[in-house]
Amino acid sequence: MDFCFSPEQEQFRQEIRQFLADNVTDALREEIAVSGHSPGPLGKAFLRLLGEKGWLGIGWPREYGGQGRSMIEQSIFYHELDLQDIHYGNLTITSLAMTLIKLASEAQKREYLPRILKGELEICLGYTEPGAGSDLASVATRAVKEGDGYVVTGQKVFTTGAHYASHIWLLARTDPTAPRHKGLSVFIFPLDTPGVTVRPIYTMEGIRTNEVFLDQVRIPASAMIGAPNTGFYTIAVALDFERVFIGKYTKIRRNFEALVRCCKEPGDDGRSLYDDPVVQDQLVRLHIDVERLRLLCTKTAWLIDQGKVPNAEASAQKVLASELEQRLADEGMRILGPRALLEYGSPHVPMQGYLAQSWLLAPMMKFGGGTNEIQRDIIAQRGLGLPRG
Amino acid sequence: MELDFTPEQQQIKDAVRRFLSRECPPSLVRRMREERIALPRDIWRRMAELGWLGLPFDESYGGSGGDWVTLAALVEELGRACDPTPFADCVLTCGWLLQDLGSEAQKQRWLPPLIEGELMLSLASHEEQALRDAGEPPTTLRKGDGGLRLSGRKGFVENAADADFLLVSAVMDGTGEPCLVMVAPRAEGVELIALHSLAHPNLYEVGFRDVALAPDQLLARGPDLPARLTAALDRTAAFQSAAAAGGARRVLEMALDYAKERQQFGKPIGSFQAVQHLLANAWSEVETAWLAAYEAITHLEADLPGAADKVAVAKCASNETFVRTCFSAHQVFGGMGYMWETDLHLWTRKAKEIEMACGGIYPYRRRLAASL
Ligand SMILES: Cc1cc2nc3c(=O)[nH]c(=O)nc-3n(C[C@H](O)[C@H](O)[C@H](O)COP(=O)(O)OP(=O)(O)OC[C@H]3O[C@@H](n4cnc5c(N)ncnc54)[C@H](O)[C@@H]3O)c2cc1C
Repeated sequence: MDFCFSPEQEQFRQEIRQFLADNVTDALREEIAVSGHSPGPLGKAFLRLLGEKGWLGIGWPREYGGQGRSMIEQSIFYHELDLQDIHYGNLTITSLAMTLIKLASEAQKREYLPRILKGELEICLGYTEPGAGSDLASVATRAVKEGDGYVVTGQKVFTTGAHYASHIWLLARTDPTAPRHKGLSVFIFPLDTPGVTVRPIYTMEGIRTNEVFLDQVRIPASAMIGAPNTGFYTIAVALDFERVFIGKYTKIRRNFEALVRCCKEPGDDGRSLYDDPVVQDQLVRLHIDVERLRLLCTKTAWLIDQGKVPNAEASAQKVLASELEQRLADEGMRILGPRALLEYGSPHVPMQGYLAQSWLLAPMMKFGGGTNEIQRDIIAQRGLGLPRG
Repeated sequence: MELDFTPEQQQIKDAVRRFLSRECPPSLVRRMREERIALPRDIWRRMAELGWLGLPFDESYGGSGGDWVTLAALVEELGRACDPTPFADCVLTCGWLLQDLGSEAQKQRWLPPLIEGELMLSLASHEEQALRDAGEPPTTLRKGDGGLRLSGRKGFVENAADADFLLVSAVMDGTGEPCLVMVAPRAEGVELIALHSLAHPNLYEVGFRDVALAPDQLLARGPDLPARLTAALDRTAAFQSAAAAGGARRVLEMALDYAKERQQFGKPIGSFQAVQHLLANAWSEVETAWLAAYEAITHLEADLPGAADKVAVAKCASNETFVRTCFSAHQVFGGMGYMWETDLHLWTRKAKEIEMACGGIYPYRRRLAASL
């Protein structure tokens, strides 16, 4: 057993650090802070630069343009990006590409993976519908076989990125007569296909997501990922990867460290918040859970390197990370007092507004990517072998 | 012992609820946030006409000298309605401070218009090292020709641009004696800088550069002033605990309604044990938060020993419960509750605002740590 990074991995970390020191500008950080999830012009250029280095596909096999390195190395890479406040939650790369590598046909892999690496292809997730959230097996969007293709009709909601992505990864019903989760399939197709309409809706933090309406959208049969009617399995794999990514610990660690630094600044009468044992107690508890999360993230990355799809671990990581993010933001704000309410761009904002931003984001982390209730069911039933309720 | 309202108290509570659901719907709260504005004054004047702004004040100034439970019932309803009004700041804190500390002439002059809804006051007492430049002195009063002059800076002043006067804490130059003065935000030398908070929509930092004050703008002075200010904020915190309990209960009701209505897996999500436990926990918290709030208020009104600790318990319990109940409601609502046009987040923001008011949670936790 060995919990340390190898010398090669440490060297890789140094290489990334040097690259980031040379290429990350304050203007880029500023753009990310104001533009939310979608990369602006500087972000796009930066992503292209990462693509050229081959670093978007660190853990992918070499034959598809990846670097054939380990997941541990990939997580080192995202860790270093996060430390520089570069948070591109790009699920195309971290979840969908990983799923394509596992489940797509050879032709599809050759078609999509190199273009994803070059940053030409960004895919949004079309799972949720007004009537199908946690219960994804109830999706009503239909894909009907017609000639050598399918005709898709239905509605998706909360389709984040549909207004800038090039493609959609869509869950639709292909066999209405089969049992609910045995009649679904997954498709990828371009969003500019005729019949697709994208409309904005806004979240409570003011960020855009979308409704997507599909009206008699004609797509070729080659758009289907995996065998017909195995879509529920496909998205289960994609969601496991997604949870590993959502449950990243670096952003949480960085916010925690910034909070500790902020607490150590001298306040009125020269004493700092950190001098207060009531504050220390809370910080210590948070620290212990940040460490727990770090270890669990290491474990899921290691599992992926062993060729496994982390399942109960991925769910546990997502639950732990989302609840810790909320507790850290909530209690951290309490510790700092009223100024913690200030948002990015306001005078006197502490920690550049990251804590306030994280506090507004945290409710979503607890139900996005599969709700924490559903994750606990997965841990109990698939992980611990308990009977279904 | 009696743990319920009298019929008269309940009647007022119901009337407040009806008024607020008509005049202060969530759409108004959302608009105030979008446009970063204070409550329209006509709504405030109507609340005055109903006699609600006079509840804490003596009859000699036009108030009704009401009992504190009636007042708390009103505040609870404000919290329930996601309180877009300046009631806590203008009436509970500033108006009451004026009655506590002002001279008879000052009270005769300022309390009647406040009770009639014509005078808006806002407290400007927040200073902390983190908001100051290095070496910047605290807010200070100097004797100038014929009066006093004020210099310094305060943070987190609510609705400052809309207020008629700010109550500003300061120290006297030379002696360091604590003072409280009334300053018009439009006076020469006053600078308002908008702060952007995720909670209060209309918040300012206020700078004072050698602002001239007439002698009758000095409200109070003396070494016991900081303690009296703390006591006044304690009283507001106790009432705001009722607001927090009211807000939490409303949010819990919203979540319960949604849990009965929203179907997944062919049944209402409220039939899943995970959702039931979430809501059952929220209910227990809300019930105890409500009790803690009213215990603190009645203990404070009767000036019973240990009341300050009761306030600390009420503040921490109810305010944290309000935030947690909002988090639980977000969990029940899933994606729908996270959208801008749904109302839940307005309460979530309000919950954090109440938590940060009156010095925030930590001073109260420290008080309890010291007294256990
Ligand atoms: C900002 C944002 C971005 C999003 N982006 C995307 C996206 O890009 N693509 C996409 O497809 N989706 C996206 N989503 C949707 C997201 O994945 C869903 O909100 C989430 O899966 C939950 O579904 P729901 O909102 O319908 O909640 P519901 O499923 O209605 O759940 C409501 C509550 O009921 C509980 N519940 C439901 N079933 C059970 C059960 N069996 N046992 C116990 N409890 C249960 C849930 O845990 C939750 O607490 C996004 C959502 C948001 C807010």
